[in-house]
Amino acid sequence: MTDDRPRPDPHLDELASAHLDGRATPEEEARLASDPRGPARVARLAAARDAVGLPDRPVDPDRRDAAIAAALAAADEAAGAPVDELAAARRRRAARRLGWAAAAAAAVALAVAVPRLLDDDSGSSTLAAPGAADSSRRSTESAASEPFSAADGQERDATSAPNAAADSGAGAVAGADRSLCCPLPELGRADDLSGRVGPARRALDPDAAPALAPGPPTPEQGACLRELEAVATTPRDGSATPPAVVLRALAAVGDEPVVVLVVEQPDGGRELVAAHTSDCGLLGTVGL
Amino acid sequence: VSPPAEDADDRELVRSARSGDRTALDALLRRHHDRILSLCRRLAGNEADALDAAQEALIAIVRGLPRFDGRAAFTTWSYRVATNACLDELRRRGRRALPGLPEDRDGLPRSAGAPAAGIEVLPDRLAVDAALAQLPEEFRAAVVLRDLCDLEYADIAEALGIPAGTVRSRIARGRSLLADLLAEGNPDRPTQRPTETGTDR
Repeated sequence: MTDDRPRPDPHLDELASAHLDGRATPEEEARLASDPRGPARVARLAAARDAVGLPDRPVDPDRRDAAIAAALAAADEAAGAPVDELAAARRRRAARRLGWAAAAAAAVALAVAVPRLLDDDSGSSTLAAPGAADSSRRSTESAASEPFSAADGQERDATSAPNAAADSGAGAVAGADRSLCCPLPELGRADDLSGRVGPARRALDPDAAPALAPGPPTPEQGACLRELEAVATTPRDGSATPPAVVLRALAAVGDEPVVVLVVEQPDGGRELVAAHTSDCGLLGTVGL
Repeated sequence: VSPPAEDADDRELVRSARSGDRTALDALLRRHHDRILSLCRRLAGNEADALDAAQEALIAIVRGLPRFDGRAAFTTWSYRVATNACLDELRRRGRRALPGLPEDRDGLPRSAGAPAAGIEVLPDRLAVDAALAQLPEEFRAAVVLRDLCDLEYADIAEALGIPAGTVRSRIARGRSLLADLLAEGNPDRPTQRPTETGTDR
């Protein structure tokens, strides 16, 4: 049995289609013009072409906004920043929580400064500790009202410090945005913060290859790291030079995921500072 | 694809967006969203998949923006990125609107019915989308990029990773199949084969 249904001639259709697009060669144009079926084929394909180009249905503005918001969130995520209104609200909550973290930082500064006062009879640093506390408070107030700009400023300061160029793993600071867009060192789990000191030292070892988190920091982790930095890089002890962030990392203390910073003071001393990822609350500080 | 003034505006927005201007990025995405969604609607064949695919496409555009070198117009580049994002998303979901049409002995897709002489009644948008959904993906993408997005053959070839000559034949076959499908869905289409003096032999 033969199939006598009429079928389009693919070759003629290709000539007609190319003609519509201005892509037929002169020889092809001549062949098309000489074929009595040509005009009909051209009209038929032109109708299909025009149908595809029909005006589209209206777009729901809410859906448009949602799609754009998701894309902007992806951009923020790539930059390691918090992403949307929900994240912004969370930032504000976290900034409030970090109010007491600033006090803790000031207390640390005082703890460092007071022994020095006892040993130093020059008196030059007598006024330094209160100054450090003021500076810390100002920084945190700034972070609370302008969390992005304050954190960004601190990051630039930290990364421009000479000792911030340690390049000992993905979390070592060689550019804040770069480190937050890449997997960070994963320091593992411990029952208390001091248990993370060893892994942090290893992550800073240029000859070591630290274990890395499976992916870049989540927006929550990125936000928490920035907020923690705003506090941890506040100049202390009257120094004009802020502590520099030399390592960003992730870890777990108990069952709680935490973000971790190692900051280096102008005198070379290093501290490990950690905050809970869930609420950005400061977990504590230990010497490294 | 886009007027020069619009292209210049796009380039300025791209430049600002790449330097971290979130407002510029928002404006850039807002300017192109509807076009991207139209593309995804044609490629996906149903609204729900199109919306998800368009969102994935916008995200792909944002993530790819640092690699946009400006050699092509932003509109062209964004269509290219969006096409691949949409197709990837649909493949990831294992979606295909409808099975492709059977192929002829010579490997060419064959019309399921009689060829139409023309489409007397312009079909509505939904009917067109339904017909497009029945095209094999490779034909559908080529036709949509040409007839909806107005891309040149070279740009379509780059977007789909195929030679320009293949683009030409895919567009032709896609249009031919689409014409048949639209005519089938048109109750006013001629039931008799056009005469010699009419439109087809």
